[in-house]
Amino acid sequence: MSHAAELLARRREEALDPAEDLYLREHLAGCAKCRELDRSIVRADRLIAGPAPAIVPGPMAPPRARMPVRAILVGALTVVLVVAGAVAGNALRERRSGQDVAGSGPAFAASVPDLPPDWSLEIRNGLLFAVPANWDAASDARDIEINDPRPQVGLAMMGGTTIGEVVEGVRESGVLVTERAIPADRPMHAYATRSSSTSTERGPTLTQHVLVQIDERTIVALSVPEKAVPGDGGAASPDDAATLELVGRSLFVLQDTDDMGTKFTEEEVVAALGRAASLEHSVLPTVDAYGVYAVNGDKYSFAHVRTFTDRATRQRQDPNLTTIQSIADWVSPVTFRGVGNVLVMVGSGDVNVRYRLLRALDSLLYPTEVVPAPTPRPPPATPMVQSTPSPAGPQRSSIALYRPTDILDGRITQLKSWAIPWAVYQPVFAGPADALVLYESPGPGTTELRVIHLTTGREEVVSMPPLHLYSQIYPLPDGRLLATGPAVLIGSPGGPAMVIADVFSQNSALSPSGSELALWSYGENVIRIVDLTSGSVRTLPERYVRCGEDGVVVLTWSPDARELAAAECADEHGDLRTWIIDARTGARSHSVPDISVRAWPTPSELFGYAGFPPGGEPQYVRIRRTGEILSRHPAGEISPDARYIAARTIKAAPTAAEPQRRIGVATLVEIATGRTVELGEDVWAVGWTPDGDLYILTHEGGS
Amino acid sequence: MTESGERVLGLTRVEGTADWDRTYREHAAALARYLSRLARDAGTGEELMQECFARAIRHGTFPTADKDAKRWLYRIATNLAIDHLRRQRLIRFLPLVGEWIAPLGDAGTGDLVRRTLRDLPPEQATALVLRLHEGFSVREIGQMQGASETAVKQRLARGRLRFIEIYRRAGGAL
Repeated sequence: MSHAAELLARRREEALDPAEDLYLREHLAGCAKCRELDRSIVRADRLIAGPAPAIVPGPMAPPRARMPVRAILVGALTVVLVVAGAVAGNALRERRSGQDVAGSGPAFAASVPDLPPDWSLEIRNGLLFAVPANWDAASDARDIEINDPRPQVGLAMMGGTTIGEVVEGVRESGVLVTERAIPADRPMHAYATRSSSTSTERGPTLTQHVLVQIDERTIVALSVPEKAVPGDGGAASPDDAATLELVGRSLFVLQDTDDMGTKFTEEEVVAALGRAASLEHSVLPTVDAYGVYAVNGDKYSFAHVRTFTDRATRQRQDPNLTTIQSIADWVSPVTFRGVGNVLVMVGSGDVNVRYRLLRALDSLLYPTEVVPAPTPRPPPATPMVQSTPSPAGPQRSSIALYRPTDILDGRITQLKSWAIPWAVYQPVFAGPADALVLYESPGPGTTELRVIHLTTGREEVVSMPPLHLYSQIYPLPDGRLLATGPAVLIGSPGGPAMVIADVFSQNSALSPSGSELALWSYGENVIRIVDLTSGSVRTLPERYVRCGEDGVVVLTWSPDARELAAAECADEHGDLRTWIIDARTGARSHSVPDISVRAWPTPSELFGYAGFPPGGEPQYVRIRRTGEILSRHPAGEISPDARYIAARTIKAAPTAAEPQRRIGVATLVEIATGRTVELGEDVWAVGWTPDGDLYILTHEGGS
Repeated sequence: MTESGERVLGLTRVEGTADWDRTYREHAAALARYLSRLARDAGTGEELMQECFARAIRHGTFPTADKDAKRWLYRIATNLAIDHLRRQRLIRFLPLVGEWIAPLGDAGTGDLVRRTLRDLPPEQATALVLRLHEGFSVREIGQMQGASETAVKQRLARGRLRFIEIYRRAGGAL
């Protein structure tokens, strides 16, 4: 946050002191962006304060009582279905979209699966699903104990996304191991992932997931941990995969189950038999809720309870309803959903009978409108969209080396160049080695690595399937490749890879000499240092927390590899800062507030991002170790000698034929003088070789 | 809670339901509006409001002064809203990836405001809505959030800037 922006926001609540006020007024006079921000703050305040949707809550309903009605048979393997009068379609939630509507609606769960009779039913988070006889279920996938001997299936709800986006995200994050296509009549997606297990010391574990799209906005992920899906080097057991898939097929969204924490005892249910039931107590059509409850923990018995919010209901002479206080004392959990009337008991030894009746009753009580099948959203734009070639044009890609002094002097002389396939989609990991590594995707779902040896010009294309799981790959001085992600691997291009350290990481930094690797994992929020020669791992003290859910702690080595800069936040929503740490002991020297260090080219100078002004670009600054800002620059890659910054920028370059045309430009800045040169229009990536040459990757033939 | 503790906090035990009926009539609508501003939709906001009263009743005591009752209910509602927003963030993250944030296109302004508020740190979002939507003072918000006035001012300032940033990123015009 820039100082001026902070003051603008602060003065909405308090008078600034005279010095701050004077500074701000003078600053505003010369800063059009700040004046615009000031107006935006006022408009944002109005938006937040603006009219809320009109809500007229109904009268206060008393908490749900335990079975204040009658007409239940308990324990018998019979079904009693009593529907009390007409039911208003006043559903509280509209999560189920057209299920059970014959001949229409989405394909999901349109057919009732045939379940093994000895399976049991679970209702968690408002979802009905069947569970194998020897499995447990957890409402939250995070509750699954990895070491639990019983297989468990856990739920996780993901809102605002589609299966395709989730799978793509997993694939991009490099944790996707296998992916199985699901028949088109079932819009589920099954795949196995390799993910970290931070709660144990066992390192990466294999977890299998089945994703089910339950409506346009929500996915349910069913997960079974390693114990239930014994892997053989990454392949999930076909039997368990099929079992989990069947669990997924049984998934059914109940309209409103409130909280399943309520368990009725048999005595309570029997007591309810003597109560006036259903029709007499119904206050139609004000029904607005009902629930499904397990009875006495009996896996064969469920009770449907229809509830009322009409005050007339509790004004009747019902001993359970005379005072709210008396109910609140013994009903747990309390929800103001009114008082229930029992409608049905379902008990049968065959899970299919229970399952179908529960679904049928749910649909009867809450008929759903027919809605069209969810329209898949387009996949998120990938960076390649900037350089999408015109189909008719030639497609040529190349990577070339330049001397920065030549460019600044106006000579665009290529030192070396390599023609590379168009398929390169993620450019380069350069390290202390004399090589560049490029990701390529020659076909859907396939990934290769292209290693370019700068001195000899030799190229190697490596097809190493396990490596695509790894998020960061560095060429080492000895010609081998180092990969980080689920573990730390070292291998020769095209040859076998060896696990150096069984440590999961989301971000890493290779030391300048290439002998040590710093790792950070959000699971434990710690920094580890791996000695790549011995494989030893040491964990530094203190926790380092990323800024926001999608961030990572950024690590940067000092030139002499004695210190690390770690950009983190006090908590996920706290203030940004960079700690300067002794890389050997982990002792913190000091912190630099509000700056995220990204490069440390010389002992006394660091580069990083400072401030993230609303709607504006963060500033890239050169600082001292103490955080004192020396100069401000365009953001980019710092040359090894700290004399230049290279960046790729997107610029609008409209033509008559293409008014929306945008081009990628390489920008070279001399730090000392500020001299800036732009070149190219098909630039996809820029960076530096260890020798200080500028490389530019271009995709020609785009528009 | 001891009786002396209850006296210190100005709470009295409920003997009947009259107080609750009156309190519900007076505050339910405003609480529902407040919570709906922070929730995904009005239905969720109303459910949170109901849960707010449920928690209050379960507490078994009642503020003596109406002014205290209002603040007390808003404090419960604020805690509920913060829990709800945090839970939504977890749900969006777990178990594999986070939510893809894309421009909302033609989504209504109201939806966009609510969505933006949900993407703010919960303490900032609740502070902004309590201040701008409900009209509480900084001191009152501090009491509800269990934070100092300085901390609340900081939350409001940072929340405003963050709101603008996220709102614009989501395609909103300011």
